[in-house]
Amino acid sequence: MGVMQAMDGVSAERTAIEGGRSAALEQALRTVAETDLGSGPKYSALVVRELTRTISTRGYGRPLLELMHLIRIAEAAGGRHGWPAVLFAVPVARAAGFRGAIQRAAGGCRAFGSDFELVEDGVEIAYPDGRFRVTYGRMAFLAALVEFAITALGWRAVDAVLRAWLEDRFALRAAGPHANALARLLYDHLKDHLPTVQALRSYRRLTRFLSTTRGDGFGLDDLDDATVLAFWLGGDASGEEPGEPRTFRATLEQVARMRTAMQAGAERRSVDRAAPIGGDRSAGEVDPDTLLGVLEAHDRPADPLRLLATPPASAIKFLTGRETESLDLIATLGPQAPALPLSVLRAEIFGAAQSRLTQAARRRAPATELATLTALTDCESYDQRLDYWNRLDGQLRRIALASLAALLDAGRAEAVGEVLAHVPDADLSGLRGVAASGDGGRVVSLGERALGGVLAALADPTVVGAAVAGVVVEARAALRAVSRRGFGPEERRDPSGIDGFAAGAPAVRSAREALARIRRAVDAVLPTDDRGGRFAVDRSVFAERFAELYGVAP
Amino acid sequence: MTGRWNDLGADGHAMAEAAFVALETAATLDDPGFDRATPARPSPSALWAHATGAAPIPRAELAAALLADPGLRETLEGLMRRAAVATGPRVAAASTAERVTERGGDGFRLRLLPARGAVDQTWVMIDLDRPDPAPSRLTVLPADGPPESVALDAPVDGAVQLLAETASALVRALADPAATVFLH
Repeated sequence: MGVMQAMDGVSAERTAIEGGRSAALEQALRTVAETDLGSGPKYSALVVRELTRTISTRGYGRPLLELMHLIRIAEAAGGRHGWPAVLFAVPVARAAGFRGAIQRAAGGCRAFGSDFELVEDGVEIAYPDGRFRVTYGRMAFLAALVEFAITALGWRAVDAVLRAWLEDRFALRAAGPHANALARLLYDHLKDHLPTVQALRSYRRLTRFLSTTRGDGFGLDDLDDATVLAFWLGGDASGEEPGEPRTFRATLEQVARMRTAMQAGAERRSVDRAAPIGGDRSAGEVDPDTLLGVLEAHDRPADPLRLLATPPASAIKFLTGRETESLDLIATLGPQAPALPLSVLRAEIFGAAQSRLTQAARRRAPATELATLTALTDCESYDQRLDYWNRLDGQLRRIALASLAALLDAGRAEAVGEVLAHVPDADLSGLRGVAASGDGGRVVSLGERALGGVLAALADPTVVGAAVAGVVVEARAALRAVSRRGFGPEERRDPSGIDGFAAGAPAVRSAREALARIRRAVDAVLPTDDRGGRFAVDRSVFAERFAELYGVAP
Repeated sequence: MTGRWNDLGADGHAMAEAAFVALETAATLDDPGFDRATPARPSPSALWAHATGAAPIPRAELAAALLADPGLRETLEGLMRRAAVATGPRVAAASTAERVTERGGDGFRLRLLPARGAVDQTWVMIDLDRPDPAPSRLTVLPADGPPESVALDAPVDGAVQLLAETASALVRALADPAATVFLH
């Protein structure tokens, strides 16, 4: 009998999985993520991700301290209504929004100019015992954090802490105890709501599996494609508990996380060995900021896709839905993707098939439909996927080039950086004569007056060489050929649209680089001659496992 | 960096475990999950936009959210208090569950008077201690149910009057001793 049938269909599986996580915590994070005051999502995907990471690692110590100081600033700028009039009233939480709100308020507030000082990138508080600066760029995250705290802990609890801080003496050193008070409230709340038990169970199951299959001396290299497949295939046999992820993609992501975790453990070990005896760090303690750093390094490769989905880049259709979907797994696996190339390929093809199967099972599709899906007769082959990746690479290059041309047309300095990214070994020394000034002949000045001439010269092969000029010609042709939203000449007249190109062009290139890394890794482990045979074997393995999981007679 | 399990030591294992748990937890929380049909609750920002009138939440939506999450009422009340020119707290006699015809607030007094010759109508009389800033809206947050709100005319001689149906949700809420009154 298939697992699915034994657990009374998908609903049982869903209940088990959901049971391991806190609905209240998810709801609180979702509440923040979906805040929309009529101008689109208030918080960008990047801010929401940072909030999730901060909560997951309990790394809110420093942010809460920053929040206390921001509350001081917002309380002063908010006038009669106080801090909510700044943090909650900004419709889209971006640096420009907070800058505008605070600068407008500062004009009518005597405290600005004495206790609070507007500086270039934020507000500095001049406490008698020291200064503290909160940047406009940081305010979006801190606003999301207080929004989360109130949603999770309730108004009364958070307001009491903030009120006590505002009523306390105006001193830098006074902030700490209040930040700690809020941290304790969050800690107590998360103790009951973070799904750490489920995560710990997954960790032990995976380390047990590795010890059993590879021995206690298993290493990073043992967390490979073979392990991903074996772990997924052997889930039930190794005592899989109800609700454990058993999609191939989830298994792959888990192994990738384990690789990052093991690297973090090894790094910690090497730091310990280098540290002097009697250091002040307690054995076994893991600093939340270190954990945040691990998560940041693991997640960073997914930033380009999030950035493209966030204003100002989101105003331009750099990628289609299918293109974004095709890059999602590669980005999610982060730096571990090239170490697990076959698994990426398998997840793209058989993972997609499993998604269709899961959907069909959820709607209780007839057994014949499930049987057809499990047979995998219509699924894409490895050759077809690699051909698609090749086409996608070409498309990403065209979009990146078209973005470069849009920046050139708009006279934006970012165009020079994009040219250098496309032609890394370009010799731009010829631009010295065009630019108004230089820096000892080594750095090309991009002063405003010189910029127009410099950008025009990028198309001149006698100044910048044939390679750069050729890229510019190619970029202009690409721009003419791309008909996606935001690329048209009329749309590009809007200066805010050009900001989208400035933000989006590097993100498109980063996504392309991630794709290139996985393509190279696949080529290394799966030569062209082997692809057909490997695909046939894998298809048979996955079809058999799907039949078992979804209760379909072979 | 060998990265072999046996070589990690206790601290390395602790770090690996903590990192995996944090990564797994973040991934779980990032996962939109299955239940996308349930609408997210209004955030404090959204409640603030409602309290200040910048972006009112549709009545039915707010009523449903307050019903689903009793804690939301506390947040809404706190934010309304912040946004208000003056606040009238719950009446001390709330435990009697009697309807009140008069209630005080920080800077105002509110009375409910039956309209002469029209029993189905009630005068809402608000006497302000200070004329400035003049409120432009009266909102009542009952112990249950959504807030009731009405626009106010400019005060005349420090007083604002409005005529309302006696059976209206506004008058019933104002007579509820457990309700909180806000002048915005």
